[in-house]
Amino acid sequence: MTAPRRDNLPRSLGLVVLVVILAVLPLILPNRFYFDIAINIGLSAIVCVGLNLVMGFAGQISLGHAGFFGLGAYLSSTLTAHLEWPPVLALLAGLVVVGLLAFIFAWPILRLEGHYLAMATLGLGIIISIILNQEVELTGGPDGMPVPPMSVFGWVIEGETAWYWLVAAVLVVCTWLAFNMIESPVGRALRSLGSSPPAAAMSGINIARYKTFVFVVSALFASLAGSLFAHHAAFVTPVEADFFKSVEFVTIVVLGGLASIYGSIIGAAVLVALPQVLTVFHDYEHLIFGAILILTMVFMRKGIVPTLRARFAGKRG
Amino acid sequence: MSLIRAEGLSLAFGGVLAINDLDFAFDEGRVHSIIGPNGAGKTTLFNLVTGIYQPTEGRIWLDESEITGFATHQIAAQGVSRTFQNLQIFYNMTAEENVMVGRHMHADTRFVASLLGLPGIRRSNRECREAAAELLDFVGLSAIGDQPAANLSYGILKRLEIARALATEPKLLLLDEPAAGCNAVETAEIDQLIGKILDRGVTVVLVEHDMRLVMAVSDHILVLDRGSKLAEGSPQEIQNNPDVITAYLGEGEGDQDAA
Amino acid sequence: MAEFLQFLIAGVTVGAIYGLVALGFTIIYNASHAINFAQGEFVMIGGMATVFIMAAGLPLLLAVPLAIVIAAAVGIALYKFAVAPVRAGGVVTMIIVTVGASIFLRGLASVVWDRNYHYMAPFSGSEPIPIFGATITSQSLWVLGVTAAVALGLLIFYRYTRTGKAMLATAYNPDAAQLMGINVSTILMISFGLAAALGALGGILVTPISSTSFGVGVALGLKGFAAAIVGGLSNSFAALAGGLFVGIAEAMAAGYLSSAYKDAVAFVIILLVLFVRPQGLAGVRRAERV
Repeated sequence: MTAPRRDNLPRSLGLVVLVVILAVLPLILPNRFYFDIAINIGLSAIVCVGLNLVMGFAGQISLGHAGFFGLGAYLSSTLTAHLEWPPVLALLAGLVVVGLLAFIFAWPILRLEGHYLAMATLGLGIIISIILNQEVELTGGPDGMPVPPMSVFGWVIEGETAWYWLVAAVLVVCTWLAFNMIESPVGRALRSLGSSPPAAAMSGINIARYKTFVFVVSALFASLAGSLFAHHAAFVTPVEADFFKSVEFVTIVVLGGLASIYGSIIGAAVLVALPQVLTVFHDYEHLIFGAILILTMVFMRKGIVPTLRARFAGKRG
Repeated sequence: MSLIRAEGLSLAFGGVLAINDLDFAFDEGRVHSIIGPNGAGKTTLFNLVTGIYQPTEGRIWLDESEITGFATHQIAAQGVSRTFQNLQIFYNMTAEENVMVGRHMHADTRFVASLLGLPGIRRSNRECREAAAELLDFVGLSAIGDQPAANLSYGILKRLEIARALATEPKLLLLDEPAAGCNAVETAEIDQLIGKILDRGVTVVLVEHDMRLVMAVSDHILVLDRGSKLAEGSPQEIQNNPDVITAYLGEGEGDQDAA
Repeated sequence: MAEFLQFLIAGVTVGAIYGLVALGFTIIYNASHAINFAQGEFVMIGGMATVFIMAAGLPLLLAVPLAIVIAAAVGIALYKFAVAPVRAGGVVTMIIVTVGASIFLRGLASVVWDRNYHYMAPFSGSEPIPIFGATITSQSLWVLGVTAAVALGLLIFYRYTRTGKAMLATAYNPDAAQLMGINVSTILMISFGLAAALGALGGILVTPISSTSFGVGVALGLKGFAAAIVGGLSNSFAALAGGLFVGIAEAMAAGYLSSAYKDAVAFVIILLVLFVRPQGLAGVRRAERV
């Protein structure tokens, strides 16, 4: 006799809460500026939900995810701007290219220890960043390039409201995909290999295959978000692929909580909104992000959401 | 007849021969124990058989199918499972989820279907859960299924590992020091559990230091010393073997082995 | 031929710097099995601190040791406040903490100092010295000379001093070292201080050649890491040799292929080493104990 599934309930409930919040938010946001922030939060959240699958669940690390984000952004930009491809097609092409790159890259690297993977992903991210900066004819170099508007089968996405709904929908879908996967044998396999690779292997789990799978999925999330970002901002620069951007993503995941999907969304909300709201933030950005990483690891290793969850669970019990 | 056998097995770490030209054969449906002084290579042998180490020489067969050079997950697929000397529990999951991971090879593990949450996946989840419940009951842990593994005691975790290992439906179960750190009562429970495992049709091989358990439960014992086979036979034969006694107790100096 | 020699000189010079950075990575890795992502920032601190101390009026001869001491202090503080508290947390935690420290130090530098590029005069003039058809600057000779002295110094340190031998022991087997009465935390602290000092020294030596700013740490750190893993993170000499390898490869690529992609060379090397031979040229693959 098994007890009713308690832990599915918070997850489905959480998804409903997310949808409700996203539906209600436009009524509260006062103007374009805030919509813009919300959209950027959503885009970062999409990347970080994917990154969390790699870091929080599979226990790996990537310091180069901005590379996938930037690559998605630039593939969409160049294909729509230079070759006049339909944006959806360009976005899909971005997914294919980034997915392949992540796959080829993951297979040899993921069998190595944590810091080798960290360095390798860092290296990949920087190489992508350098290429985007150097290939001026194609990408506009450090000055960046303008991006045509997004359109889905002829219908142009214009205005902050329309973009908000698009990004919100994509975020909900990505979160739903992530939760489905976590609550499945594949998800448990991923969590197990983050915990004890020998025991995972002894249960029949092909570790290399699973690490590759989760890495590719997370790269796809990043590429998708990058493509949407490029069309929304109507302009893209190589900054979107640089090391600091990768660190931003990692900071969001860490602060929100490794292995907490909602943590990543909340972390994105905090860390994307903050610099916008506190303009003085800009000069101290590095200082603050660095401090957040260190302090979170030292004092609140699980991150915001899991720590709060444990606090409340303790109070009840 | 023999479920698992090896010929000429050797493992060298740099200059050190951890396993030296070892032949062994374990019959199906029996309980076998591997004993020997510390450093004899017992856990190393388990690691070789389960693909964690690759032998430098020699070959291994499972059910007359060669498994030499196979990776760990491939050996698991052939029907071998194990517990670990220093507990390899998934602390980031509940007890039940730990056992559910053991069902991996019998679960629906299609990647895309998992992302989409298709009905087949839900069915598989249910099946994993039911199988885990049965196994937790089998090892006497049905009460703690939804406890986070990180909260559980050492003795409970040792039994949890056995449940997880059985979840793979192995032909051969390797138990690495199942009675380590257990008192007399707990050791008697392990003795009983091994009997029950045998009844399920699983061949058991133990690495153990607890001689009472070994002598009580084994049909066949293999004694290793410094990577080589020192002796093998029934518990009676081993107990009376002078070489074994010497290996454990030292050459006439009377120093007790801390077994 | 003269062109090749010129590239070689450039490569060896910058390679020596990478070697010093690589030494820092290797020392910390051997002591703690962690990669210190903040290593490049020590290089930055060395150069920037020296520039600003000299701007405050002190001569080079005082500024250099002072800057090195500051860097070493920062290294020790990094260990005490960021690394030591999370040592039990595992590899990913360590990585995150040192990445955080790297960003933090960079931000601190931009606030305490500024975001501009700063240049320092070469130690003994900038007159190029002709050699076999190419030229070498006296600064290059300083770089090579100091690095060689460091190599010699480390050799003596590890072989003949108690602390040095204790560090080697801790690298081989921390548990046994502890049982022998070696205070592993102290060794770790010294390792971080030493790694910072060496990185800072590299930064000071290279500033007259390529100037410095708050952000130079990232690239220099990564190139130093490339050097360190080519050497297998195993010992000092492998680290220095790795540095020369990366430096020369970079200079040759810049000279014969494309200077635009010069910076990519080190990262390509990182990926190649990790893909093909992660243990580097001198390292040994470690097995996990189960």
